[in-house]
Amino acid sequence: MTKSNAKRTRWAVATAGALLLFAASCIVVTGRTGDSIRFSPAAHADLMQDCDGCHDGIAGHAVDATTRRALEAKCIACHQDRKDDCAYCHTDVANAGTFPYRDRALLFSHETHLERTHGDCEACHVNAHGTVNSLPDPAGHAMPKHAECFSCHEMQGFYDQMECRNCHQDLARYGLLPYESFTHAGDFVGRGHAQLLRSTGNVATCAQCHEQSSCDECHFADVGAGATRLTPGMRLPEKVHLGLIHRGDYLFRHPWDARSDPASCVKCHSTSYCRDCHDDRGLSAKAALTRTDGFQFHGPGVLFPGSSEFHGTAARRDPISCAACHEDGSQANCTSCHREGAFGGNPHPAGFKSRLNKRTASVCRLCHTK
Amino acid sequence: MTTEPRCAVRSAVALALSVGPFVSSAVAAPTERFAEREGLACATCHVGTDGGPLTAFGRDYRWRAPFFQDGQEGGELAAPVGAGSSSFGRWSGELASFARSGRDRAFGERTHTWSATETLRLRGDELFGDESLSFRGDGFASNWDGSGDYGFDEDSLGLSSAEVTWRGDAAGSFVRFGRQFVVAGAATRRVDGAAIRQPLGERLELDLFGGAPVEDGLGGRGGDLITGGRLGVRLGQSLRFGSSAYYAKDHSDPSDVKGGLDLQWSPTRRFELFTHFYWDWLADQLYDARAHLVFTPTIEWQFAYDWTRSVPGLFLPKSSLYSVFSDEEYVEHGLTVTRRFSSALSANVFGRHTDYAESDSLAQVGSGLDARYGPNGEDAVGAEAGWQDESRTSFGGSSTDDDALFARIWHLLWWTGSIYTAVDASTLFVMDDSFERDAALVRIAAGYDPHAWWDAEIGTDWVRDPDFESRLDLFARLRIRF
Repeated sequence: MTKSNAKRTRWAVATAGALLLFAASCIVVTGRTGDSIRFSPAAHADLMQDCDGCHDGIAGHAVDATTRRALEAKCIACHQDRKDDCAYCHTDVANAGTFPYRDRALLFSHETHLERTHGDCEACHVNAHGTVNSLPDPAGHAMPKHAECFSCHEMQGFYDQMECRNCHQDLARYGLLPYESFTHAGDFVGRGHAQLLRSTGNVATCAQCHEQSSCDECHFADVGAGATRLTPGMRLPEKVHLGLIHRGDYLFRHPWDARSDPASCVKCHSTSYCRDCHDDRGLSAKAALTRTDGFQFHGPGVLFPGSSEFHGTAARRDPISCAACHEDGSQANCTSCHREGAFGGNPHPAGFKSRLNKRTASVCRLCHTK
Repeated sequence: MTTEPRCAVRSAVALALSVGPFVSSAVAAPTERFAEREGLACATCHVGTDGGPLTAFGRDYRWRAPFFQDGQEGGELAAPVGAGSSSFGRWSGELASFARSGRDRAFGERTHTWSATETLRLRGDELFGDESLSFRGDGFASNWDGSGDYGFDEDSLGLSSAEVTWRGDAAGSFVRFGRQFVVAGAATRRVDGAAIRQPLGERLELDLFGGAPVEDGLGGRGGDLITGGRLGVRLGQSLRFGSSAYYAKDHSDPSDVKGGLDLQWSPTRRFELFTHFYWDWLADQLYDARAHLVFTPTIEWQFAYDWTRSVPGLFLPKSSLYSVFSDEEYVEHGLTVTRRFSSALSANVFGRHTDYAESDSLAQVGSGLDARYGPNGEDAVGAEAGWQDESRTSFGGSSTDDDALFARIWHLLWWTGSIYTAVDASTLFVMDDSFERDAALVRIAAGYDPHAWWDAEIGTDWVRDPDFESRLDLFARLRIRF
């Protein structure tokens, strides 16, 4: 490593450390408001027998985002005289929170559960109204966790096997747990999910949370000329936690990936996809001919065996990168030098085998003309 | 509220645990009555005959009749948000518009580009009143314009998918027509055609597909015709394996003929092995073999080992002239260790080593951190860093040394139930002096999602590019759900 590279490395490590520190501090700095609601369970004891009195429709058949919490209007219905006294209820008036809520999309009925618990809400919602020493948590932390459900429902096995559909109507609309919670560990988006799907029976497992059509979120077909180039990262810029490929800097990064695993590109893109973009930007050998700034895609040693820039080395290692620009069928520039009888010699690697008939297959006949 | 009911529940659970084996038939009584009424065997819904885990059919029934209980079967499922019903079925969808403006580089000159892309997703269920008939579609229209003398004047219109699916009575069986994404062992292709999936008894499953490969779809063009399938075997809950093959033709020549074996083995929940070996029949050699072994000793720790042996050139269709040059294969070993500190915080470290021909190699190491917080765990923050070091004896063509260090942070925060921001910043330090500078990206997006029929997002990308000049792009997205 040269001296300048060593210096660069030190800067890189220092910057990476600073970035990690920043990431950790985000959790602290951007913490949500500490506001809560002053509520005395004892003072409201006479109302506790009638959940509907405060929680509209809570005993109904379906549960949704609007019927779980006691809305402010319900409080004010009794405490009309305190309507303008925010601090009477809010512990942090300056940061009084509008607390987020979600439609949890559960296959669940409060009605049947209340029957089973004989009207005891706290069988599931532990300390939902707080205690003498702790205020209720209006942000929803009293929601039963999986363990509380499993204490009655023998579903730990389903959970482990990702059989989510027994309870969750639509996890795609839900605040998903980290990928690592299930079998999405490690580099699941980049590598693991493809491996899982190779065994076709797993399609049904994935389908519990993901529609078949959700494959299109990333495997979005760029069909025809003038492709959209609407990458997953552009289509879903807010999904930063998914680590989607092709984020905004990808134009620069793609040669790194293309060289380390060339097949990873052609699994989704045809080589014409590369060529269209390179031609548009004047970054192909053909387009370079029209440029006036002396740009050359290949180095001067591209035609000379022994040179570090010799094209034969690249063609052996990574023919896909050649095809990205030179995939022109019978006009491919390989044929002029490597056809039978030409001076370029046999381009096939040692031990080359093919079941194609070289006298009839059109790709063979580009060179095997005799 | 009193604690007595809780004590009663605990007592009941203890009693049930002690005498459960003797009264299990009584516990299962409602289900038995249902089976009797419908004339079905217990095993139709349950894996075993004594209740317990459900089969796919059982899950499907429970899915459709979630409030099934003694004397009260059935129950209506709420329709998806915004779904509209008609005699043609329940239809919903999403229309999104993406706009972008920024700088680009064409033929060595700076140019401004503008692009607008509209996407439409349609979802139809219970078509013509038939519960088993559904439609999924995804299409786009795009327009690119740019200043300057070169390029970036492109319009396109296309269908990513448009499929009609009919689901049969047997669990998991379907027939699907139209433009679709086919996954069947060795084949992962987008085709215009038909696909069929049919279980054959309890242990076998058959997938067949055929049609025209979609240009620019997965795997490249591949020819004028593609057909293939997979026969899968399931032995108990722990072992699945299958054999698959496909054949593609281009202008009367075979362009791609591949197949092989795949296997999934999970003897315990702590150990999973996924592996496949795929053969290129035209080149008469193994072209892609992978094994993915996951060991999860506790919920806190997971170890995942990957092994890959691949020949990149054989991923090109045989109609490509370049498929006859490659003699390169690479072997890769990777290990990822994941530590879950809690349900909302995890970290991983990984190392990967790839051996190419002529003693060339690539080493990668890195780590990542993923934290979720907020009321529903919808806020997320994380970071990742990685280093790669490539050792090459000769570069060839325009290749360069690939040593680089990558670092990234990201943060998604829902400030309220409907307003969020997303920040994604990354940098790539290139250990090669031929680049003028390093690369960096900062993306900031802010959105408003009232969880109703629409949402909107705006954002900006600041990109510092080693080849081009730095640039600032603006983008916006509007989505309408119906």
